[in-house]
Amino acid sequence: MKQLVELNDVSKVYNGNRSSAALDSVSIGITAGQVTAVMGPSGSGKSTLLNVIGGLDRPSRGNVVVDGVDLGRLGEAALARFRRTRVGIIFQFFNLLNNLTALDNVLIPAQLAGVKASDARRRADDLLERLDITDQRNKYPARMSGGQRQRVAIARALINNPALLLADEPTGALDTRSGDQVLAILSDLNRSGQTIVLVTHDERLASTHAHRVIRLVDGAVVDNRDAMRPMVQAQ
Amino acid sequence: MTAVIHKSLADLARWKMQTTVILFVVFLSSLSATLALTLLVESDAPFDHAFQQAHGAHLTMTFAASAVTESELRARGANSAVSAFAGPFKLVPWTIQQPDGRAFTEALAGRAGPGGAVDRLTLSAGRWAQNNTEVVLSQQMADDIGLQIGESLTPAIDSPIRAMTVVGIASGVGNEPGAWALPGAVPLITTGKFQTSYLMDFRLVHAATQQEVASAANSISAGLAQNAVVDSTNYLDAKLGADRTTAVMIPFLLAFSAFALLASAFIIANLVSGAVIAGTRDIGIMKSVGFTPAQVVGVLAGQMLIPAMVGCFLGLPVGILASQPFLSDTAHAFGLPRTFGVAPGPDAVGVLAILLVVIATTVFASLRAGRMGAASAIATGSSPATGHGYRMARIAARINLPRALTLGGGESFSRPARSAMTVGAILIGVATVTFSLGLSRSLSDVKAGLTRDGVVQLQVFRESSGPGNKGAQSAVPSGPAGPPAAPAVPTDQQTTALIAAQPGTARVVAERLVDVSVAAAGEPVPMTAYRGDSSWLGYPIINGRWFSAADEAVAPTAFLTRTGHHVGDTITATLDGQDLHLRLVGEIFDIQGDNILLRTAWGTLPGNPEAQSYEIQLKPGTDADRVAGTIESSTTGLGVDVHGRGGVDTAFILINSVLAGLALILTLIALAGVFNTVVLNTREKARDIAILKAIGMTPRQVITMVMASVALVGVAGAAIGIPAGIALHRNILVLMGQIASGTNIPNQYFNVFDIELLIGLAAGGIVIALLGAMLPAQWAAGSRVTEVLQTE
Repeated sequence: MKQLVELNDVSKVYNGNRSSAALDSVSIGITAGQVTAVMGPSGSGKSTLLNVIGGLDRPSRGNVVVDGVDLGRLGEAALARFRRTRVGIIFQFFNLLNNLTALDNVLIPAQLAGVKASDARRRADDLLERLDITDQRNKYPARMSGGQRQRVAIARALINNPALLLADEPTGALDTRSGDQVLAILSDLNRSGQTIVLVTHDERLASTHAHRVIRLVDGAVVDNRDAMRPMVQAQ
Repeated sequence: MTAVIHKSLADLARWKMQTTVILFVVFLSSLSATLALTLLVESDAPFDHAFQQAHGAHLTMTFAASAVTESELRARGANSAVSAFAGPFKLVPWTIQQPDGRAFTEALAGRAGPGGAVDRLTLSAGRWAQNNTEVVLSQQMADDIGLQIGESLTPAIDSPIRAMTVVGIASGVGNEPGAWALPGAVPLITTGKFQTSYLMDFRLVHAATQQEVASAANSISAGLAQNAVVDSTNYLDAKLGADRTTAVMIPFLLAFSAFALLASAFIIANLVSGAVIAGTRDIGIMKSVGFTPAQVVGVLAGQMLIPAMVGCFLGLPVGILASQPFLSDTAHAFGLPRTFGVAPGPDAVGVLAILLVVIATTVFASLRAGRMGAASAIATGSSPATGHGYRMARIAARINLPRALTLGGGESFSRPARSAMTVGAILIGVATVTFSLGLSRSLSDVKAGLTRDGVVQLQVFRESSGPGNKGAQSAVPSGPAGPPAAPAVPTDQQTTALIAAQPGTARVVAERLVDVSVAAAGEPVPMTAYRGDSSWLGYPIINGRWFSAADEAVAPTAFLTRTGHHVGDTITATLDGQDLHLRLVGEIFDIQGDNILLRTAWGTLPGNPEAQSYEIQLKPGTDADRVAGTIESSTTGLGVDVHGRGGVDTAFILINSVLAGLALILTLIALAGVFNTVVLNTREKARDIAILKAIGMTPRQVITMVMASVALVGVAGAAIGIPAGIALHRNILVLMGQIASGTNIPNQYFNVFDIELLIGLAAGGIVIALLGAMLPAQWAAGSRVTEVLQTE
């Protein structure tokens, strides 16, 4: 199966402190079309791994290839363009722009990419409808529930048809019901072929929604295997 | 108290950018306030300060050496009206030959050194003469002739003075000779063409008024031979001229001082309140660990006041030092000795005012913060700023422009109070530049209108004298050296023919100057009559028109004000007992003497008068000096003035350099204001910027967005600042005209803002905003997404 993401001997240290590396010689592959869960205790390097894959941070050593692109060869501007077109990021605390409506938040990546306004608008409306938040399109984030905000964030992440979706604790700030709704959406996206990398500390979530689980401890991969009971098979 | 000091110092070290901006803005503000106030105080009475330092002479008298001896004159120093004296100094007319064939005569005085009990001279360059072949020039003579140290002066063939080398340039206060040499270099000649005079300087017991000075002069000269006193001048006339001309600077120096304080107040208030908002979380933590509200205020006050005091401490001496070149130029412009000027009282007041602004805004902002509960302060400081700029963001989102531009534009006024203060700072910067450029252009026009150098290049004088005639002005100064023996003078017709015969002559008008009496004028009124078409002479018209027929006249504003007349009135001017009825057809811009004068057509004068002087316009490309030399060498009895020389340029250069200097400082303050605003905004928006970068905004787009957020602010600042600057320009110009010579201003001097300049000024407002935002924009573009979002 095609490897959408490849990390080869990737390490990340801060302030030259090799004794406490955030990532330590990580070499993994992410299979296209699968849901991969990244798990580990607090400070194990989960979010750092996500940041490195998404081009939000650069490794101190090693190389990262996403959808055939070696991220180490890209400058800051190229990395930004890469993120807006190849990667969609969903954050634990949504990270919406509070002074923009839901629709305007969703449109931002398409507008930054210079997509024709009518095309971007049509795509945004489709996504809002698919995520069942069309009635929220003209509301501001402050007036939405957590679940609604996270769905807006998902729509924003998908507007440019990214090859890869990165979700950092997407249900961490949600109640159980809202969290389940968001996970259902992610599963649905995966059934449509979307590759997803999911950071979570929730064993149940990993076992029911992921095809593969990667475990990190102190920045190093300690386990990398198929999930016990994947909810769906990759297509 | 220890905890408060520790926290303040730690915060100063942690928030280096904020500390630096406060220090820089307060430094600039105190520098500009000190500069403007020092110039203001010193410009108010430059002559008085110089006179005090130089022990200036209240009265200068010149005596004929043929009628009085040195010992007789020294005895005059014991007169009861005299408190101190210097001299007698020998004085001879010194005719110098220039390479172009022209000759000019100055007074050369013999003096052992620059010091003394009265009228101490200040050497501005070089040294005093050490032998009889060396000469020290006055600043005026050096400027007029363009001579420098080391140059040689060749005497005219019949001059009793040998060739001399310039070794120094000196200034005194009052009516100085053109040059000084050692006493041994100045001969004592009591007969013939170049007769020696004696110059004496007196400090008087009572010298506050012209009457007191005149009384002292009479007392000093009592008992001397009838023709002993050749000339007498006093300090009051020199004081009037110098003080009046520098007083025109007072209005715009006041304006600049006010601007500097206002701009500083805007920016410091913005800076302080922003810093307090940014530190809200810190305030909550401080309170939660036990800081009292008063201690919280103390910490914030320390953060602001320490760099503010350093800024003031640096700005005050730098402002004093920065004012010295301008004060030197002021002294130079009026031939006064250069002195070190400082106005400690006003300077301290200005700096104190700035510190008070810092204290007031800090206390106000920190009191609000100090009253906040600890938990709410932590929550408020930790959570992203919300509730700002929704409407503008929504409108901007609909505009079909690149998204980075509309995102930035939508943020322009999301914090109305902060944006308003930033607009205020830019407004002041733009208004200052508008006003400075406008005033500079207007003063250039004023200079052209006063000197009329572009219209009249030469003025020729017939050196006639005789009872009943108004004596022609002589090109040879009749100062302390006394007038030389009268040469043969060509007739009016001969002079007219000589001028017409010059190939370079384009236009000429003949003139005669008479004194007339006009009711309510309070003094004899000089009236100049012009023969021929004089409409080209270039006197700017304020109201009405130039005269076009006999019995019509024009006058400056001061004459109209003094006599209570207006354009259109008919006045009666009495000349030698004969009444002349003149219709006032125009008010002109004309600054000569006290501006009580008239100008009229030749036909107004009774009888068959002769012209005394001639104003000449040369053809383009004609060498004025060559024509002057040809006229002077063709005959005796004619003097020629070449226009375009003199001290007027220096005064205007001085004003322009003061305008430029202060405008630059205020523009820097405006830049600092924008910089501070953008730093605060990008700090508050750090999360949003990180989100945008995470979802694909490139560094260039981040910079575009940040710059766009201030562009509208710059437009707003320019939109208000330009009309404000134009209004200020008009008002200041009117005020300067009134102070300088009680004159109104011709409309053309106001209309100096052409479309190109206005466009440039508008762009200037935007440029100020963009320049101030450039660095913070780049910092925002380079910020690390993961650090801000804290995804780990």
